[in-house]
Amino acid sequence: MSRGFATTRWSVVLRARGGDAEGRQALSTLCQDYWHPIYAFIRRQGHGVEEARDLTQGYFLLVLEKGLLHDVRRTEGRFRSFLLASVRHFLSDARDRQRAAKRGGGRSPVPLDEAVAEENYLREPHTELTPEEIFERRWAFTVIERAVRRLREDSERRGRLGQFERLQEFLTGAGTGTYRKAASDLGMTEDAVKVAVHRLRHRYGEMLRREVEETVADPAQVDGEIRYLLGVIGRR
Amino acid sequence: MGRSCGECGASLPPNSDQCPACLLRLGLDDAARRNRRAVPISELAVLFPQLEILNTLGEGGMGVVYLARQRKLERLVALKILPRELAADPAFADRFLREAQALARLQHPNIVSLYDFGEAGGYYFLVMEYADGLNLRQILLRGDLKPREALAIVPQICEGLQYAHETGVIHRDIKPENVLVDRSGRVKITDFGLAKILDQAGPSVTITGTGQVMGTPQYMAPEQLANSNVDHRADIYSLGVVFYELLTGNLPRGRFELPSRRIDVDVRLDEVVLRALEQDPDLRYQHARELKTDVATATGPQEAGKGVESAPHGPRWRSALQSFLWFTGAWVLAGFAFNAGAVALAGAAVVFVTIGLLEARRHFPNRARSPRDPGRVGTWRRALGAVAAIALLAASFGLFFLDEVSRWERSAGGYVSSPQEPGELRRVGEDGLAELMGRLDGPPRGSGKLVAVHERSDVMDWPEIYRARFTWVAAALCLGLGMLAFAGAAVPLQPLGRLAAPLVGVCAPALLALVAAHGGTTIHRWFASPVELVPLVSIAEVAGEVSAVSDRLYLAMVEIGSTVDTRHVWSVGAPGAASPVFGMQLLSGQPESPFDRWKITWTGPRRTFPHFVLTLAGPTSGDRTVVRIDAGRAHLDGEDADRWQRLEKNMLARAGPSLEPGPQP
Repeated sequence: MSRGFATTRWSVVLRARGGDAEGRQALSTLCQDYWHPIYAFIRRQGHGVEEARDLTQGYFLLVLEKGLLHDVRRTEGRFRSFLLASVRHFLSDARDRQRAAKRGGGRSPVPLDEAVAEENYLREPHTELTPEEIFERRWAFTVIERAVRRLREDSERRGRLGQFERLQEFLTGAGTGTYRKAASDLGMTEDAVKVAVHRLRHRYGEMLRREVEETVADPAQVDGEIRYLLGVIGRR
Repeated sequence: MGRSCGECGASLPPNSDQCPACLLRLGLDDAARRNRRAVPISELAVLFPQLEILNTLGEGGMGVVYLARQRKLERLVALKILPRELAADPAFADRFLREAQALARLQHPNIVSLYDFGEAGGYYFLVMEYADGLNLRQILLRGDLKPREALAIVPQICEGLQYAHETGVIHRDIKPENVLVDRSGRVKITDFGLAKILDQAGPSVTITGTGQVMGTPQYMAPEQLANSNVDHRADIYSLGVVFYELLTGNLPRGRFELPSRRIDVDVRLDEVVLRALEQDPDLRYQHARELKTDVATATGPQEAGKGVESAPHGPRWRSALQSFLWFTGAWVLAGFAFNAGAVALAGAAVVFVTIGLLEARRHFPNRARSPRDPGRVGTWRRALGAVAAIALLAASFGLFFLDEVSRWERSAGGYVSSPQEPGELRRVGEDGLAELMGRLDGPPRGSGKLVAVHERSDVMDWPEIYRARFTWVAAALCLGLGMLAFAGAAVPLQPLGRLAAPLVGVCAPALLALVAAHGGTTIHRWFASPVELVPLVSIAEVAGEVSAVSDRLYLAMVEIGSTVDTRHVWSVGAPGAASPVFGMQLLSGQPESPFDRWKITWTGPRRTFPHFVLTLAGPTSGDRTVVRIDAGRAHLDGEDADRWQRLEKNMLARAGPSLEPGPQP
């Protein structure tokens, strides 16, 4: 997280083309951040919990050890597209898969918390969705979760963790509480709460953009990517 | 279905009160503006009691689109709402109305249907067919669009556009966002909001009068950027941009790379894309249908592109060299030089031999000269014999070389004499080769390719097959005579040597004639040259080509498969033609072996035929399958089959055993 804000991490990976240590490090970090969608994708392909875990690990082993960036050209621009294409390729190659499942068993290049991943996965209406759709939905949620986590860390740094926790529900208009209640909880005026919420939303927006920026090659793609994810969420 | 967001209607995840869509929207640059433009679903529910608003589908330049269910019909529809503040702008409202009118005219499977439109509570709205799927932008962003998929999409856009254009509607804003692909893969064009309705005079001025740029600049035709007076060809340009983007993932900006350089597609698609992207509308495709046809031609049933990329005959350097020689004209000069050289050498040989004979006669008028008197004889005879031998050997090499040259020229890949005119090739049909091959016993191991189509002027009436034999005979003769002369020179006054001189004397004029004729034929051909080699295309296209240009076609060479194990096209003919046998050459196995190439030349009169017949044969079994091919498709035809077997027999009887199929020497 130390370096991520300034550089677009995916662009570092792309520049390195699986070559230098920095590129690999960047890829590894990205994979750690975004393995949930991969897991969900593999699960939806019909693999059991254990198997999906091993395959996910095996897949990451392949990606991280081999670089596996050879077919990145067509998906240039987006980490998401790259991962989806490469995991699909990975699963379609039975030999790769078997080898990876074997190697993935017991090894963990990426610390996975299958319990959470499984819970998230089961939450999806997976009978209606294709593996790709599951992948993309999980991706969108991961982006959001990570942005919220960033916002939380940011608030903590500023010493406003309490405020963040109380006002988080107002990030969107869907919250159930009222400003008045929040104001009394926080010992602030209602107007001050409104201002704080406004700032929080603004700050959150920035975090989300940064988060998305890490997965694209060019900052100019951020809006497009967000719109895409909006489409993913809205499709259901 | 659980709870949904009161703001945007997106469904909420079970364990959260936060709307993910709203959370994502907060990250958008113009988040504030977008939020304002979306109409709260609660408000819409009041305005449209007949609809159950389910979700927000997307937001575009023309408004926000919601997914809704028509309560009575139980049908999912897309509801497009023009935001209230924009509705206040008369120009915007005008555009909205225009979209509705344009859409209302269009009923086509590749165009989103319009069910209803109007105004409610100050909002303009459209109720449209809901296409459950993604738009091309979303598909592009997924990043996994394959060229083949892109090539399945584009023709459908063409169909929709062609229909709209015929109905008098121009889209004017073709871009990936406006092309939907539903789950079944059907393409639907939407957002005819910028469409100019041709038979409504003049309103385009008022629209652009506001200074607003119509369309999306990256996808707009040059003439559209320059002024608003555009016709349907502007859509074709935009489609070209979309096509390029679908293939490569990038926009064709500046000096863009050709698609085939970036991805594995047929080089002919480059031409298609370039023509769609012509700056001058007159040079562009004039109709969307033409584009579709050319895409279909270029993609072919067997992905003919692979064949085009790598010529199976001869290494790349040779193709390159041939192309270079051809285009620089050096080829013609080389042809001249070698012909002239061969003729000169043969002539020189005759002259020398004749002089030699005369000399010999002068020096040795008495036949009873003793063989043991070599002193006076040796020098002359040996010198003459050596010269004759060298000349004849050189002539034979020249002839071999010429034959080799003509074989080079016929070989596929390089040496494309003129760029193909777009649209010249006609595809036989969707199934083309696949179907054709499928009718043969067992699956084919290779893919069929037309290696070359020669078109030549009818002054070149010397059948190729005789010419080729001629070359061999002449070359062999040269070689034999040269060796005799050599023997005569080396072994003076032996019976063999004595025989050599008169033999050479008799044969030399004939040889000269042969060589000159050969050279003349070749030279003639360079001049007559409308020799046109079409690069590798599928066999289905052979047939298409045959029917399209049959009146000019003189020779077609067809290769099926690259191994001897595959099927060979055995004959091509025109039913009912007086002289039905087409040029046929079997190309298989080792590309450089002269024995695996046969050539049969169409010697019949020029005429156009409705369809042609390919007789296909297994290489060893001798089973024949006759396939009739016309412009539309390939199919078996029993009557033709019989007739063609008869005709083929005749052909074999006439052409002799060298035309038998099967293992070659």
